[in-house]
Amino acid sequence: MSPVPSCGALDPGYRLWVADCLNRTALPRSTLCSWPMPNSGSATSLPADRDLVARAAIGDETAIAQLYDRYATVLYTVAYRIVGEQADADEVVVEAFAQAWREAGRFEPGRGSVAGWLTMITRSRALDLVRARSRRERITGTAAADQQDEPPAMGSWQGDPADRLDRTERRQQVLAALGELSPPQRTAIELAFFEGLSQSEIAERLNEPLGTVKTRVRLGMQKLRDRLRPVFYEQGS
Amino acid sequence: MSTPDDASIRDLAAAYALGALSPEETRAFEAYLAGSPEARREVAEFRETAALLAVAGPEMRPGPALRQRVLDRVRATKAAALPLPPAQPSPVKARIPLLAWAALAAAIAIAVGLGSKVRVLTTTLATRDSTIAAQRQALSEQANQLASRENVLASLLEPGVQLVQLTKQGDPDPRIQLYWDRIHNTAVLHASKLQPTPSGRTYQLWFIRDGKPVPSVTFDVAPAGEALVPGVTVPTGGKISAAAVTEEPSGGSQQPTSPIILVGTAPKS
Repeated sequence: MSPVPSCGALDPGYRLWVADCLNRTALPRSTLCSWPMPNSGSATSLPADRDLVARAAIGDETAIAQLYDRYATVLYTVAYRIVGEQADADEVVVEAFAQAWREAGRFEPGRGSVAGWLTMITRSRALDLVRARSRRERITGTAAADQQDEPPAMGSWQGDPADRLDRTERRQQVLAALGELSPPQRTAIELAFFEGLSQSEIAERLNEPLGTVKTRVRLGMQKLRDRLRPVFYEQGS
Repeated sequence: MSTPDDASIRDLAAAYALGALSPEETRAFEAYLAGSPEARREVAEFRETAALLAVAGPEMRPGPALRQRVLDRVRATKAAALPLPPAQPSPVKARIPLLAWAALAAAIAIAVGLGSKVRVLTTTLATRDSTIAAQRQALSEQANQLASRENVLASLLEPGVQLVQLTKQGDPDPRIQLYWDRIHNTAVLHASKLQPTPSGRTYQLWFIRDGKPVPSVTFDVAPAGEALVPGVTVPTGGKISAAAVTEEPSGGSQQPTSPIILVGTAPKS
């Protein structure tokens, strides 16, 4: 991504080239040492997530139990936010883990973190459920509001405390980053993520030109990415 | 470096990661994505960004029973995928005399259909034979791969092997590990997350010996950015202070013709 720094003209004896080479050997090392590793203090070390997926892929169901203990709260939070009720959020989380279990062998580390993968699976299942529900409601005429129930009890399930610290910190960073977006940027991105709307659908919903919505999504996401890179679930993904 | 067309399609990466493109845009972008590792990396980053949006809402904790439900579901999926146990002797057998006539009628009906069934089965068997042959072939290729991997592993485990890490300034991704066997003056090069070179260009390894670059192997990376090069000869007859990688014309160069991409110091002997 960063351009290769110029190392000056190549003189016949390559002295500059070599000097640059030797100079720079000190640099990458310090760059590497200070590279942000937000999870390095936590008990759930980064490679373990991938190991768990690899174990799930060969049929070890305890790996799913461990992934559940690590990410159930995050996944349940996003499921609940999208579907808006407890029974459906439960169903979504069950379906999401079943899918992760089936597809563990196809997980590609190059495409991102395990946590991101699980989140995107959960989001898709939740959006599917909402779409199916709205189809049903169109047919039966039931209002979604009738289905709302009490939010689940807080604190009924406790994960690993180190993991909870990470989660709290990460959540604060995400909220802060979202706070730095312009409200229209934030709305466009949230409509896409939590309601599964395409850019055209967002433009229609907000009665704005499509081009404006596209720009908001792009600039907003770029800003979030730049701001959130240090708290990505895994670095360098 | 990128053309305006490139730039405008690249602009779709964020919306793609959010799943917010139209079906036509999605198809166009995926076609572009297939040929651009950089765009794939960008999408991965936007996907990570999008995944973090999940934690923004008020945190909700699942009820205590959900964990068991998830595990039951996973177990059920696993059981469904396993082969069925052999059938138990059926109590119906005892009633065969009563059903003998019906069975005979059924047997006649089956015999009529049997001729065509045999032909179908013969074809199926032939297909299966060729599948088995193909699998045997694949297996022996894998055995060869395994053997060469064993060799690489053996050379990594030699006593006196030291690791030289080559990195790119300001970018943690591309990385080369050079396992340098100082007793035999050989090395195994392992590259990861390097961008594939354009056609007509290749990566070349250089050793810096007594302050001068000595050309070493050239190598190309797989589309995923990986390369494994065993049996690299390390030049002797002087002090090796560092190793570096540049991009050179195919076939390699005798002296570096382009800036250093990755570099790492050699450990003190």
